[in-house]
Amino acid sequence: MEHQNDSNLHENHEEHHHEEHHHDEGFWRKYFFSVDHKTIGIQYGITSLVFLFFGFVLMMLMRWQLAFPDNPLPIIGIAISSEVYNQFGAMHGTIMIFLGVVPLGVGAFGNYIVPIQIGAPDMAFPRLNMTSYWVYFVGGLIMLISFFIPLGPAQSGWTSYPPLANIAAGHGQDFWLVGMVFLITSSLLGSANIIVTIIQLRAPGLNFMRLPFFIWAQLVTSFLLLLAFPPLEAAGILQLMDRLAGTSFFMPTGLVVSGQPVDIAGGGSPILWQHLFWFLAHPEVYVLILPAMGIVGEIIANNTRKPLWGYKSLVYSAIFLGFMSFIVWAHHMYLTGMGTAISAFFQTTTMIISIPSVVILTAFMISLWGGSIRFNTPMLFALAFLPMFGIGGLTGLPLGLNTSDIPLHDTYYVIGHFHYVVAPGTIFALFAGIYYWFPKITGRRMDEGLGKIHFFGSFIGMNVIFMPMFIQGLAGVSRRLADGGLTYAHAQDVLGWNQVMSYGAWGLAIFQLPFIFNFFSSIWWGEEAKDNIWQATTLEWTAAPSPPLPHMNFAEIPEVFRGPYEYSLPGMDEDFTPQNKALELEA
Amino acid sequence: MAEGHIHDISRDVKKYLYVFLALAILTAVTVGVSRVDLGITGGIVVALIVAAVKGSLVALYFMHLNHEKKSIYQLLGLTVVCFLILVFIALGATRNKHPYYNDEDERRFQEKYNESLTHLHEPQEHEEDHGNHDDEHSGEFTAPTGSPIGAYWRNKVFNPQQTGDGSTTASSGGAIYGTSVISGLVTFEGTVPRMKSLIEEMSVDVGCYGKYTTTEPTSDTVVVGPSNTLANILVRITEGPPIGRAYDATDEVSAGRVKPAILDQYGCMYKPHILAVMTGQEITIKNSDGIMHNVHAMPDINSEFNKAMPKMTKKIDYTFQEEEQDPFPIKCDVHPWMGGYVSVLPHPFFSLTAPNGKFEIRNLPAGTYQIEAWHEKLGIQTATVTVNEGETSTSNFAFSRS
Amino acid sequence: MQIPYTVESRPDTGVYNGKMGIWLFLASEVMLFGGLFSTYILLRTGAVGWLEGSISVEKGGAGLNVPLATFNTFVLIASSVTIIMAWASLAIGRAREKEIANLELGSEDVQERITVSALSNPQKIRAESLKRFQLFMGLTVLLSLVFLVAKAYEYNYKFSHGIYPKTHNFYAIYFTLTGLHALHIIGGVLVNGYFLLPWKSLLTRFWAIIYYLIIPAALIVLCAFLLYHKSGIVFAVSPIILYVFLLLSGLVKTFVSAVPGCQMWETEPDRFINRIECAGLYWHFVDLVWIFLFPVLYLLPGS
Repeated sequence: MEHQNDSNLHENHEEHHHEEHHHDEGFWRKYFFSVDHKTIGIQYGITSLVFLFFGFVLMMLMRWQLAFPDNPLPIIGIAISSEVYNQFGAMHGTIMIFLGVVPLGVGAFGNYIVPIQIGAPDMAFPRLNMTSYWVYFVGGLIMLISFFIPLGPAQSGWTSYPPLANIAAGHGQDFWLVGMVFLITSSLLGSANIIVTIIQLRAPGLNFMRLPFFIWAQLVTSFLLLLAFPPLEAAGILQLMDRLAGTSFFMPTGLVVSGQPVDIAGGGSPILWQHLFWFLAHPEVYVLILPAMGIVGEIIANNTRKPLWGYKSLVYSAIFLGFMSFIVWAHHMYLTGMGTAISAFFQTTTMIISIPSVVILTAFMISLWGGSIRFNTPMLFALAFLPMFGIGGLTGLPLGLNTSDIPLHDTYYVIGHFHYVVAPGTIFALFAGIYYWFPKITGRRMDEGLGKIHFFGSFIGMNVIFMPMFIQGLAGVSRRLADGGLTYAHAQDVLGWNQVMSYGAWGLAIFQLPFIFNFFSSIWWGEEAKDNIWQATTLEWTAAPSPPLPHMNFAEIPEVFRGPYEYSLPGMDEDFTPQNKALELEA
Repeated sequence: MAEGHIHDISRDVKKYLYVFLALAILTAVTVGVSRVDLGITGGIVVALIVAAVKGSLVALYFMHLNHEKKSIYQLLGLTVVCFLILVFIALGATRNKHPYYNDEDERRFQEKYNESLTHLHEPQEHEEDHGNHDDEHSGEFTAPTGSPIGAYWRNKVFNPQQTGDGSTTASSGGAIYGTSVISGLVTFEGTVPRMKSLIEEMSVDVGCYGKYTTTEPTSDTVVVGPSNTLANILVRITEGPPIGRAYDATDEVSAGRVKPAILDQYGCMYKPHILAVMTGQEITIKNSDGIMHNVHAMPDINSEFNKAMPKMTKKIDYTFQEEEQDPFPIKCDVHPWMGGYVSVLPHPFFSLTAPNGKFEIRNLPAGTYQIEAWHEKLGIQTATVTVNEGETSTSNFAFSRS
Repeated sequence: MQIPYTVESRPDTGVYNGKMGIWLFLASEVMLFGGLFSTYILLRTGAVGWLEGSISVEKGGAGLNVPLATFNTFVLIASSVTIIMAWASLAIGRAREKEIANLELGSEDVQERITVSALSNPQKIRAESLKRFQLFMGLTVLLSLVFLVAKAYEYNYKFSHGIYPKTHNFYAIYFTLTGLHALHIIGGVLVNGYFLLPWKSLLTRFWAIIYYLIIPAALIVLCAFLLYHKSGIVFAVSPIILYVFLLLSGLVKTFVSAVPGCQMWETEPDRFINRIECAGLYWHFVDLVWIFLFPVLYLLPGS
């Protein structure tokens, strides 16, 4: 008896000591090196928004060059040379994807919302969580520093194809590769954390089919990150070896650069890089879209005051989508001479993978039918997501079929397609998430008027920028051309759209100002919001205050009795029934 | 699992030791078996099977997978599937042949590659001769560092003196000239072939067909003038007193013995269709079309190049430093029907026929010569001509479609 | 309120958090080495000629040291056994300790109670298990170091004979695969070594020396080296700035004073056993990778 008690006491003493320790955390431990998922989520959020802004600036500079080729920039007075254009292009893609959207969708929203939405006191491995953030931060820093080294940052596209990336002068590409290794490590650690949290730390009564769709999306996303990123890490190591140790993993025999043969052993394969890269990069695009779909699902259910239609089909589609995303990657490589049999295989899987996306989109749209729709700012963004993602998805079809891809590959059509999915698609969903969960995180709400201005301006701006890209692409304008296509004989008549798109881009920038102002001013002077301002059913709103308790989120761990979207349940007083509300008359 | 019972774990400890023994034995087995020649496939299969058995023992017993929970099995199943996808579909997607542009180019490359293999161990001018030539004529090829193809390319560029058939280029003296002339007429025998109209091909680019307002663009492979005379025949000396002597291109051009070299792209055709220049002579490549062209030259000895000429680039200057045995093709990747030839010769004794079929090689010293008439499709013909000082000797050529 | 299931298993999944976490990490490692193995396959099948590991360079092979690598294989397998014995020592000790405690709790027989407590008390069992654990874990670390020394010898032999990764794609993939594997072993040595660390006072002194003396000295040397090689001053000084930042943030102090090592065996023994089990899983994976690397690189026939 004594021994049992002793060890208990000892453990209790440990815990007590542990809790006391928290109360006298220094400034740095509390705000910078915190192991609390909420602080880490905010860190990810702010860092990724800063990087998104930076990538946006790069894009605006590129659009100047495209609209007014070889004209010096206003104020700065220097024109953008083609080398600098290529560098901006490569870094814009890298920063937006790996430093912006994924950390915001998975690192910020994932880290902050997942534990409180499943009723967990924190993530499964809090110290690992903190490590993930700082490794991401260092990786991002390395990417930014590459702008200041001689000969500048990487310039071989975000795809870094060899042999060009292998022979690129300067160390920008090396910085890119090392930065990627850090970012990939951060992703791997973070995704393992999320998976264990979701599987192991669900509140009692929260079985898998009662999980909010946002959690399912995060779970599938984390599996994609966990299993698809390492081959790119391997490829990055191989490319570093090629560049720094002179190996020939990707360098073919007989390579001649500027008339001189390269002194290498040869025997390598540039196609090998493409396979390893796209093995990640295709699941990566589903990493970009799934958290967004999760957010849109939450907001639609909440603002239609009815359950999501087809919850089971949404879940199975997300799982199927995740699995299929591993076997479609070579649709990015139709023009590499793979051979018709393999092309046919990838074409088939690509067509099949469009099915779950359509199911998810359709389920969301049907969810609107018969709902009492509240047109607040998060809902506006979530609604706009639907047709925008639809356009993005539909324009992906001719790219997914290998024959129609032949004239469209590497043209502006591709750029239009993926930007529709990511920009008015994912980023709108992320904006929606910010407006939706801002009251939860800060206890205040963002201004609706400014929000609507932000929405309408952004919606118009996005379409002005990206719709003409389809026109240009179909006319044959190639991507990654520093002069926008002037050199070539064909497609000169569609180049006038360049200026239109650039004005759209700068207009879009102006309409982000209300958002930035709104965001910061609402933190201190926003209207105070009650704990469950949106009258939502999910645990983060119903079981935790706004903001959640700094230590361990909940006063006590909730117990779950029903599904996540029990809105407008017949016979109830209110039009929403929280997941954790115990009813006396439960049968 | 701190909840395990003592007896289970103690039993497991015995198992660990047995597994260790098994692994040690299997290690010895795999090393021993590798000494036996089972062929390449056999060796790989056996090694992988033994490794798989060893790996399974580690996974099942050391990593406790023999009594792990379902959730872990599910995770591992998913991982194994992804691993197999990565390895096998990626492998399948690379099982392809990179086709050359056409069979002819592929055959040329194959020939040159095979030839180069026999030249790799010949003593070079700058290489120390260690006296051991055992493997030189054995015909057996031992791989130098790196792959044989790499050696071929290094050889081709770093030892440019080596030409395809091993002819020597040792120079033996300065330039000599004379007052003799060899001239003649080149004609076509038989029915003159009708050249293909390029109107359909050119229709893709208004910058091309727009130049043809009164005439119709036709292929320039065989250009026959009035009275069945052949244009674009390159006639040059291949043997004779000037062969092996050093001639300087700049001198020849300034003395007027060789015309300045200008290659123009007009109406999406190369003008002239075949250009003959000297080694070290600067060629001016012009783009009079004002649309995007590129000049893709594929010489045998000189470096291959591919230079873009967008409409802003009106001219490029280029110089070939090495002699070419035969005229080599140049083409435009933007306009596939465009094709021309360039010949790089070490002396000024050559002549290209105009549509009137006449050729004239001047300033020759007296002596006996072998001359060669070259056409890209109709073949090569040679003739032996003796010429005295101050005289003109005639030699005619007649080509026919064979 | 604590984070649940760090020690006890969750009923429906049957595992505790750390075990699921480490298996997920191992899944990602399978994909990492999978990417490299698929590189090997692709390069080899596309190559004109591939070297054979066991044949000497003069005879046209790769000239790898098969006997040394075989020895290394035995060493690594042995280290796998020792680490699982380390875990077993702790698990058996803990189970025995609990059994005694239950006996004492449940037994009505006063005589039995006295006998049992005289023979073996839980504290003694715990201390003995720790000693056995340290022996086996120490052996694991030692064997790993032997492996690394042999590898270093192998690499050095190659470099001194002019064989580098760029010499041929065979060597490129050989150095990359074995190099990445060696990095994983070093990581394992650090983690396993950390779990060996004993008494708190010595610990504090040990880590204090590292963090307050050795690391700043190394950073100053690094800074001087970078400046000597004309690196930018910002770049050269940045590690020192980072260290000062960490110092001010109190992180260094946290590490120095609260590094438990195997201290956790005294305070939370079950959690410590879980940690060792996870470390063991990682180590077995490293061994598994070598089991495949060894025949593929050293023993496969060439072409």
